[in-house]
Amino acid sequence: MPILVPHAELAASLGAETFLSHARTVAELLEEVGQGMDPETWKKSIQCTLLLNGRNIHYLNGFSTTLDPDDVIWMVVPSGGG
Amino acid sequence: MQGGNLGRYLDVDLSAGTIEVKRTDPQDEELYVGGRGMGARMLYDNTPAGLDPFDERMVLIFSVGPLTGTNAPQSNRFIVTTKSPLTGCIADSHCGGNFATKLRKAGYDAVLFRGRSAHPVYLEIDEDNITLKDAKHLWGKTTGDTQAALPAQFGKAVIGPAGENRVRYACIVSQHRVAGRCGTGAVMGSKNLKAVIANGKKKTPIAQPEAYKALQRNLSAFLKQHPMTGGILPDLGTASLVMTCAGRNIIPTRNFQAGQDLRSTKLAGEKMRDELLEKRGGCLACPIRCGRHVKIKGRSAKGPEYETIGMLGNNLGIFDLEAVVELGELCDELGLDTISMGTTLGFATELTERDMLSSDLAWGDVPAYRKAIEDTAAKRGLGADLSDGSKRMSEKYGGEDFAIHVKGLELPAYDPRGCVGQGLEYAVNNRGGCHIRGSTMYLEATGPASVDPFSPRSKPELVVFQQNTNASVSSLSMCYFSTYAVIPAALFKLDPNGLTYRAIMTALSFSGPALGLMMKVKLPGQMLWFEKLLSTVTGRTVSMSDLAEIGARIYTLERLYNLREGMRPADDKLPKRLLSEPLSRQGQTGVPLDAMLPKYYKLRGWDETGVPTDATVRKLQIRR
Repeated sequence: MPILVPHAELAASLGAETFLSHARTVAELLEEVGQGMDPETWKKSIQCTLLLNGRNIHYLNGFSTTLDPDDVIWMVVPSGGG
Repeated sequence: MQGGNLGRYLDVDLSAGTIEVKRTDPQDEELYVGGRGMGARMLYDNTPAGLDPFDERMVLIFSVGPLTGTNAPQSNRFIVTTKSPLTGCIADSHCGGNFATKLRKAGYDAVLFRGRSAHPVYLEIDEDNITLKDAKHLWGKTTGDTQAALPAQFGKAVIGPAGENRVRYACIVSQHRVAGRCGTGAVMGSKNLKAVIANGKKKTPIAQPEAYKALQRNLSAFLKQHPMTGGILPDLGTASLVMTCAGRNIIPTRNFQAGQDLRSTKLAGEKMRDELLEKRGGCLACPIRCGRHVKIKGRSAKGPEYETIGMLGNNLGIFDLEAVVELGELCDELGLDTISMGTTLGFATELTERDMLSSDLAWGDVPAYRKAIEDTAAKRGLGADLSDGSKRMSEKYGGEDFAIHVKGLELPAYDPRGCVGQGLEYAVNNRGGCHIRGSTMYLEATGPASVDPFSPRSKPELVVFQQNTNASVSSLSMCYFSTYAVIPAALFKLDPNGLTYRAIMTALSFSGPALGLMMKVKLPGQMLWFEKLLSTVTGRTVSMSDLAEIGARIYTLERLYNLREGMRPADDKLPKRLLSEPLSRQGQTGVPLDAMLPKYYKLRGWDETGVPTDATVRKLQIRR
């Protein structure tokens, strides 16, 4: 099953650091995770970079990118340091 | 009136026990500014070619810059320059804290050590009272105990047992900050020099005090308001990078065999903030306060930086933040660079896994790693091999293809297969596998911008631009973190999935030729705070282009030093693993170095073999 790793703020809202899913595409996955969340909060939560096994989904097939059972999708926000 | 540098430095001959106050060359100050640039110039001029880093005649230089002591935001760095015992190339290692300011207040721009003392000593600089003092009672002490044993009012730069024992990646520690890379601590130890301490009340002259004050006030306010320097870094410290790098598939995992692990979340900056943070900390004159003090097992400890988490945590299969805090602290106390230590341990663990080395090391085994770190500082048992670093270990045990270093310096916590511009930067950096000579990964993968991290397009231009900026900023002796605020705050507000953001990133990925052109044209204007601060402090008008040229000059001088010392342009390479082992099935196949290197050399004005041409050397006014 594909796994979603939400960014920390969303993980705190969801109460889970990872989310297992049967979704077949990124869009389906996001729909599944967002169910039951306040729409405004959800809209803000997904303003982040979505990476499928490290690759930005927009270099793949965007939200229509299909998922394999062992895929991992991370949601990340900017960071800095060195 | 001219301001900034004081124009004088200390020349300390440890063999003879003599101390001289010397004048710096004003022409060199103009060309190389201070800090890193002056350090490189002094190293080049004061050593014959081919000197072993542990030769008595090798010099070790502590330098500060024209902004040091002015209270300009982030003007708190000192730079240690010598020849690296790891790489045989130039070593310049940078450190925050308060030592830089104290050295300037004592009245000096730099201290140059040469020779070797017959017994352990430390140098005390109290303005004009400069004394080499006996350090037998300090020898063998940890960096924390050494600092505690020295007078409280002084700024201090000290080594631990690892430096005394010439571990090739021994560091220099000042307060909780570390000049970590390249083994400058080992050269200090080879001179029997345990510490340098400084204090004084002298002021850095400022040529245009009113203009400077306004600039300083505005810059402080700006940095405090910027989403990165006023938001993410104070909130999470550099550990903010854990989640981003794991998501990007670039956090080293089991010696760069993978780029992420679901358990990386246990090492996140957010975890540290929510579960361990006691208070934030920071260097003198810095409004960012990215340092962490954490509480573990009922006591206070230094919160680890991202690099420490990446290399001593994730890379070793350790997903217990408290254990990483303790291993990081152990390295600091013994005086070991956490990056080289973690990368070398990762390499040794993989060697063990492949039955190429007999050891007790195993992924996630904290006690085994703790013992290995202690043994490294003491050069005991396996520690003797580990103390030589990954390159030398691979020469002894094999495994060159997965020994993760460039020119002998171990790579830090960004796998370049997910940020290929950073891969180019690693390959060509003058001090070897270092991330902070340009931080190209910030523009590709970790920051608010993301110039296609898998594509070589425009990366040579970006790397040259970033390296030149870094060289000039670190010659002002400013912390590089303030450059993160150059990216407009508005970009942080854009939805990365929106059309506007994606259009900007696409445009940036084609910006190489424009950036290349901009670097060739000399523009008179001042755009950023770096050239404005330098101008108001020194009284010399410096443009953004001038500063970029200073960066290019320093960079090329460092290259000339490396070539003089025997480095071959063929050493501008990456380990085979990073060039050809795929990291994911989404195209993360390896760094296309060959597609970037020729363009990089050309942009630098070096010939096709990577040697600076005579015309470039003349144009940059570099004295050979």
